[in-house]
Amino acid sequence: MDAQLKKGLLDVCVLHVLKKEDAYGYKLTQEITKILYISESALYPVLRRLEDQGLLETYTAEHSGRLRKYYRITAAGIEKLNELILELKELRKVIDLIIMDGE
Amino acid sequence: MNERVADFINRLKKCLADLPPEEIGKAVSYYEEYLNDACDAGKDIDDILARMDPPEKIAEIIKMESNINHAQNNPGLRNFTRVLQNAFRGATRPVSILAVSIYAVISYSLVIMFFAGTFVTLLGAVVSSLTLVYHVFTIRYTAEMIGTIGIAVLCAGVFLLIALGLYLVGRLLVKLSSRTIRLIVKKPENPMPQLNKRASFNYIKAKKAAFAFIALSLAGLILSLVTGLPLKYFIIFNSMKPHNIVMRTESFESKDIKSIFVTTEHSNIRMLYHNDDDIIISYEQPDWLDYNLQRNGNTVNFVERSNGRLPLFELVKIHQSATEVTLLIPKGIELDTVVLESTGGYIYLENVVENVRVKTFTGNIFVQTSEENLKSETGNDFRDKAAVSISANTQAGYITVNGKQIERSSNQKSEYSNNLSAGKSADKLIELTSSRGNIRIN
Repeated sequence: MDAQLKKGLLDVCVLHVLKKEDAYGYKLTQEITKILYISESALYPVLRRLEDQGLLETYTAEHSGRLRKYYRITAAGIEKLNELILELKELRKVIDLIIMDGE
Repeated sequence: MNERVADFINRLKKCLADLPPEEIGKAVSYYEEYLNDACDAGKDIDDILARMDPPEKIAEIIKMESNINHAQNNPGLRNFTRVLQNAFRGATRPVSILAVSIYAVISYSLVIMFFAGTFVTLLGAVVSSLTLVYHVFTIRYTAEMIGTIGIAVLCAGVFLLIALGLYLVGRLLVKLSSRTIRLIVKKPENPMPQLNKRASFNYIKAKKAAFAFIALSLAGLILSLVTGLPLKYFIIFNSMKPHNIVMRTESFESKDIKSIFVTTEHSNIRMLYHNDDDIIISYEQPDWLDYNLQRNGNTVNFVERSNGRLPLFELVKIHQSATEVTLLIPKGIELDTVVLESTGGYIYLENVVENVRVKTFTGNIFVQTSEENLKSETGNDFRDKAAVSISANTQAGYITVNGKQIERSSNQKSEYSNNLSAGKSADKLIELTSSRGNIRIN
């Protein structure tokens, strides 16, 4: 998939996955890889930015003797996700039209 | 930990070195945790490392994000500089390097201009209000003091408002530029509109500040308007017409008077003969000038000076004023000395043949000595003695005699000396001295 398109979708994917359940970096990468192919290292800058924008927050919890950083979606994040989903719906109309025309 | 993992982490740390330690810690702990979790999940660590981007590339993206976010949340000059520095490192294609270069030069100079403007206006606010407040201590009238404080407050408010405006435009420019740089250097991270809580918070703060500054300016304006000081300044500096003039006239019997001293800061002095027997001093007094007219034995002393109601740097002193002290002398009386001094007013001598010393600071001096005029006065014994020497000198002005300008001497002074009676011994002397004013003799 085109890198530009993918980057636009990555934010929605992260918010979408985190809305269901809090997750830590590795797990989140695995979850997202199921939807969208990303490199193993790609998620950190995205998470960092979303955290900076106040859409995510982090907390640490112990797991088998180590500390793990968990990401949790904030109220602003949910609001943002809903906005993005609305935009995706609009986008879907355009895509459907183009694909139908193409076929 | 595997050697390659340690190598990966070290390289990442090294590449991130110029970020704040907190930022480096976050990134490093994320990747450490990630690799540990991958191991726990039973993945081959070498395999994972191979599928990761090299630390240099990761660091570049993190740095770019961190700088741009930092600059957008906190759009200062230093953060913007970092964004630009990184943009050059991040730009790889020749086209984007060129675009970044051009963009950087333009936006950077604009941003610097706005921030410099902010600084200068802030400085202006401090300097202007301090100068005015300092000046308050030289004023003796309460209303004028309050008015001046009001003007100081108004100045500070307006300057602060301008500074805030420039600052906000500068910050906005940094924000927009950072975003544009992101677009030029990289593909857009998120083409959809961003929600930025912190930016709106800044906006509210700026709005509050703007209101505060407007309130400050208004308070200053009202304070100064109430005292009537701006109106007075308006009248004086715009029309230069005296305000509330009262004519003061006093006459002295000429036989008692031997010396006359007239000193003004502001008013013009005019000396001429008249057909009356008394010496008359008449003065147009505006409300911002005080005067003192005293007779002491055979000496008349007139002193005029500002009474402090016009405090603004005593500018008025050096302005030409329409108010005038007129000294009317009967012809033929014997005066020993006449001294006329003015700081800023003009001095006029009209066909006067007396011992007169004239001195001004910035005011001009006009002397009219028409010999024809003097000669026609037949039957008056002073005509035979109509011998007057004039000596004039000015430091910075020029001297004109009968429309011809006198050349300056080598020491930059202008000097002139002439015995008008040509041949007769001069027993009357007119001495004209001015520091900065011009002298005209006709």
